[in-house]
Amino acid sequence: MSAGLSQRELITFPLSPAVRAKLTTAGFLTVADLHNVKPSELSKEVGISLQEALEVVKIVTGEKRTTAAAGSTHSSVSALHLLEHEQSLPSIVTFCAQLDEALGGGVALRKVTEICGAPGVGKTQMCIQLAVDVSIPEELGGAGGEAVYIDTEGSFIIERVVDVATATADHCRRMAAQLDNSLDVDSYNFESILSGIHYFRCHDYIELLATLHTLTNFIQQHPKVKLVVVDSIAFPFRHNFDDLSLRTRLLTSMAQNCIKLATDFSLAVVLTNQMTTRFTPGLSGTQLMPALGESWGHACTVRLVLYWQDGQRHAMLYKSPSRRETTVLYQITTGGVRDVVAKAPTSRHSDSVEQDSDGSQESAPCKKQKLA
Amino acid sequence: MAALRLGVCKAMTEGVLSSLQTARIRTVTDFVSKNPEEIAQICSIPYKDVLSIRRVLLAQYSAFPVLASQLYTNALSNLAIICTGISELDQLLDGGLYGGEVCELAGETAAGKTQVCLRCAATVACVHAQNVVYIDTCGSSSAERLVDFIPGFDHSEQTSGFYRSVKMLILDNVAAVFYPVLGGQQMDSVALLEQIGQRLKQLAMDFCLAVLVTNNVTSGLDGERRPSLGRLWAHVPHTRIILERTLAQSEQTCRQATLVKSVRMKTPASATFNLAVCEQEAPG
Repeated sequence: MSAGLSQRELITFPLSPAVRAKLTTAGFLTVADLHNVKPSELSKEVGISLQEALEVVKIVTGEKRTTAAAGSTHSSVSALHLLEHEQSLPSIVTFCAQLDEALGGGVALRKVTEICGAPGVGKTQMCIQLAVDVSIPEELGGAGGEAVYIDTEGSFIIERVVDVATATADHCRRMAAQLDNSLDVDSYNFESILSGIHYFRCHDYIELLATLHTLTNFIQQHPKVKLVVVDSIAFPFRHNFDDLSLRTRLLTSMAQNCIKLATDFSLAVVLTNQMTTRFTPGLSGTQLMPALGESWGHACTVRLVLYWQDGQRHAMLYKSPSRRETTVLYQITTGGVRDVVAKAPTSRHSDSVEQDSDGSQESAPCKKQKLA
Repeated sequence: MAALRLGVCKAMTEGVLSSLQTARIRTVTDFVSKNPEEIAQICSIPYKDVLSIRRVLLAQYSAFPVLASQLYTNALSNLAIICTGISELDQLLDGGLYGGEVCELAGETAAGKTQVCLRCAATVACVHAQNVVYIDTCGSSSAERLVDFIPGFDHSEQTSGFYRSVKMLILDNVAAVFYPVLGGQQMDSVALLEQIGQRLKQLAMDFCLAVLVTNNVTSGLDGERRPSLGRLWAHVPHTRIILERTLAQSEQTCRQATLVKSVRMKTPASATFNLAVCEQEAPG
């Protein structure tokens, strides 16, 4: 173990490029070369100031110590441990039983889920539904957490949130009554749900990046946060970008940031993305596909594509490490995202649909209850 | 490249070392690449001493020859061919993944890279009863899916002495951690990429590991798909596979693996398999 560490090359340490170049030309290549070298000797031999030499020794030996002590970030876990952890985590239901089934119980914690779709297909509605559903108490099979909602498009309509939250609270109260649960249902109402949604409005990509970077601190202060929504990730990045390679760098580093958030705090990250048209040379016609380019496609762990077909909303699970790809129907009612029960009523906001969906509402969280 | 040190040989005394350093001869490379006569003259060291130091340094830092017959005997005793668990892919790779080699799987998003990785990990753990180190850089591994691939999964099994029987190293995905720092003004990232490549190859050789890395693809101007991370990285893997989704007759999504670089098989060759079928076969 220690032999392996002393073989580590100095260029892999976070040293300034100038110092690194001087170290290399002076023949200091691995940690072993710095063994028993005093900072004063180092500064003389390498031609750097004593201050810099001290810094180098501190960084190299300091890192050595933390690695030797098996720093928590780099230690490995067994797959068995991982499985137990995965199984112990609740998922966030969408209130559309078919969609939950396709996703394996709902939107998974510890994963980054991307929702893509054309304008008006229900991306934001899905996000609002999830932000509300994350608050469903653990006794009813929910995550019992809070949500962070980062809005870049200004499409977070608070009246809609109240609609969805009221419907969800009503439903949970009915369920609790059915289950004869000792849960204090009176405290679970739309006000309590709304006070658990932390809303951030970001106007451009700099604000978005800054917010995501400071989110770690925020979540440490609010440990109940179980969901981070970014609606949408595409909007700030789709215009005013001349340097495309810079865009790729920013996007991919943001993706790593999101993954880190998701795994460090065991929370679900949900991003929405717009669609773009791709012309394939040689092929006639065009293809509608998620925006932000190919490299961005790797960022999310689960990708859900929403689209309209034959006057109905479809959700296709395009990418998932644990579930097979499927397409399911869903609809959006006053109360939020619901199953499609009968084929006939497809119009939005009609009373009959609302009643139908109430029936299906029962099935969604009940199924979850069995799982829990 | 290493610095000149005391105690390399008898002739390398403190006085000699300091006079070499004042003449800006600090590293082994500096010493060896200079004319011995010149060194003797500049540093006023006896010519004989310079020659003996030079001889020791050359002997110490040069590679040593190994007979091909010896290599063959080693290969016969150590070589491991590890089945991936997907028979079509094994055929494409002439039996499976070879110990001591680095294999790269490149593909678009949702092409099935992680699925192949998980399947390999499960096969190595179950069929070969060997251990796997799985490095996940993008949070996409799923233990639940892993269980799908393992027939008769038993919770109670746990082995000690993990690192003694590691036969496989999976790195999923190498591009995810390099994309944020590649390009622009940052030159370090190329060095780091080179480092990772070297280290992977070294690990593969030293411990006879089969190394499986995944990579993204980029499309060139002509619309052709090629693995990302550029030409420098292209030299790292011994074997390269590009994974794509295709539609079979039964309208089920199949995966097509195309071998684009290999040391022992003809390229390009391709195989088609279904990841979902694998899942059904596994429990049976």
